[in-house]
Amino acid sequence: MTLHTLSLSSLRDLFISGAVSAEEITRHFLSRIEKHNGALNAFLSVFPEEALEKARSLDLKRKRNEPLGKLAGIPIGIKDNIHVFGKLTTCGSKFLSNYKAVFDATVTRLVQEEDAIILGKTNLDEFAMGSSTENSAYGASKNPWDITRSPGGSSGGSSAAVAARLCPVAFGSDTGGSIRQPAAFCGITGFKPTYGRVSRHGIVAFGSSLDQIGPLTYSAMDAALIMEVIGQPCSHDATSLPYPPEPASRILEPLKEATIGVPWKFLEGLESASHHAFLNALSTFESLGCKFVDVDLDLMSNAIAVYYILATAEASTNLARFDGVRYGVRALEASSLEEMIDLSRSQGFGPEVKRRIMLGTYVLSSGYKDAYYKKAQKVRSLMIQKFKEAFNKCSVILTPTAPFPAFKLGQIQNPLEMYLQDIYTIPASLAGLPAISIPSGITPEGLPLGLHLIGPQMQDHEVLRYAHHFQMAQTSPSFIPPAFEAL
Amino acid sequence: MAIFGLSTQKCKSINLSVPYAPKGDREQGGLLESIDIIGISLLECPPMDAEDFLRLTKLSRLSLSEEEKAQFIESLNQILVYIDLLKDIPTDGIPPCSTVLESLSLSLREDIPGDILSRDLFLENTPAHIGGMVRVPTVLKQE
Repeated sequence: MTLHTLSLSSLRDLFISGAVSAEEITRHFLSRIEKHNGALNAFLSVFPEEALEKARSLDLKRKRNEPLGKLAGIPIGIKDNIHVFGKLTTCGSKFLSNYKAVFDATVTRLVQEEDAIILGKTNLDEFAMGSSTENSAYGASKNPWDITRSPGGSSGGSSAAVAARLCPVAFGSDTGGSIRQPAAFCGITGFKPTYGRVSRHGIVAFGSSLDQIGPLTYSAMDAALIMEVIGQPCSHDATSLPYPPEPASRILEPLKEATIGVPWKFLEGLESASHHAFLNALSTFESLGCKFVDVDLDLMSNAIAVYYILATAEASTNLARFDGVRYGVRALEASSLEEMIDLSRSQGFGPEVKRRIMLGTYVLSSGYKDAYYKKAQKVRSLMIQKFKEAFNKCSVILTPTAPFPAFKLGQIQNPLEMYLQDIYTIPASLAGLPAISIPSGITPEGLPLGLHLIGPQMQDHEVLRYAHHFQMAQTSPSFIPPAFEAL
Repeated sequence: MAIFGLSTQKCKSINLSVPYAPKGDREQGGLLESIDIIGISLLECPPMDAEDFLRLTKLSRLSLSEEEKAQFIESLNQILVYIDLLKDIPTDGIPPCSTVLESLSLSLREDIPGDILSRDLFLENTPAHIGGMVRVPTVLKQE
């Protein structure tokens, strides 16, 4: 049975109707993980016993006609920087190779309360810093469309797992594009909610003014269902927005006389396959009755510079807690406390994390703070203003998710070049806006491309609605990687 | 040819190769050329020197190998030159953004002590502990 190609609601319906047991669903996905994870390195840890135990308890609940949650019987993967109580949270780092979470993240708790089944933890760039998963201390994940290529990053384990149908949904986290770019590289849907829409309690902080948890799924409708569960206020996160969850069904409302913004000048320089797929996407929206308006986002060409100042400044502060005193791997050869801290950090962190700590420390240091950090904060204000002006003219803004399809593992060696990958995803992060990547086409080499929709703050359902109608209007191609379609 | 805001000349000046930059789409007058006009000054912001770098490793609480030092000083300088492009954006009178949630008065709750984390559970993750407390190497040394 092809349980692994079903939508979340179909999977839940099958379980609720009694056609398939939760145990069968769980075994199906566990066996796919067993078969394919060796080639993909998508999951860092898998919990077969707990998952099957939870599944059996759900089967019992169903037999007893007890009420079942919105995600009943749905298996889920969790990025390994999000806590699951009692399980390792490595963050893809050697430093936390022995760290077991002492509580559940709010998102973990919420999906479990709605009867989802946690299958395991997925790979990521160390502390979510990277765009390829090559910065994971546990090896890179592979792209299911071509295992010599990157699945993107930092949520590349989650994107590879969902694309290869090892689980129908996985959590990612997005600071500058870490949900959306891997979703684009792997031909799946990746949604970054409005900043503050989803609780950050229980995620290991990277850039606190930017971090946001969101789902990687097969479709916008599946993402909307997950958002209905996790998009709610949380008393453990002071930046959590005080609005109730929105029902997924809201995204079914048809698009009527909708206006979509396209920042044409910002898009100049796209390579031909990406350009072609983008124009095709515009035609699809046109057929749905949408109109287009040119919006001015030229300022966003500076987004990477702003981001790498602010995100690294916040990271250098957040990662100061990793000192080897209270948790993590401690350097044993040190003779003093000071030396122990320096050595533990030096041995525990990989090169990219060290580089970002240093950059962040530099831009915050005396004599440079005004020139870099304050300046970047001001340009960020300007960018937020630019988006507001743009949204006076349109409901959502369209760009590609990434300038190129998935690159080869090892292809990008220069850190700055790797940063430049994120030109289209970072602006929405800086402005705290909801944004989604959905598959829009396949290159002649057989690699998926992503379309990126950005909405105004708290218009998460609008972004999902446009994405949903686009996906409904799309008749081809199939976005299941050929090697992973069959059982 | 250039990549996201850097002309070939600028790429060369900070030793940035562009091996897979998209082909044939980098005509004059586009986004990238307009950023070139904004320009990146290599003179006004000198790259970090060895002394700055040493100070930075101390502030960052890292002790680096010689190989790492060479690698980081080069890549950090490259990044610093790149991010310096911001200085030509006029921002007089613009307030610095510290949160994107403008309408949000941070929703603080009552500060009520709760049973959040037991000592035993906390100690399970500590690298060394003794008598219910975290153990660390000597802080003060005898002269």
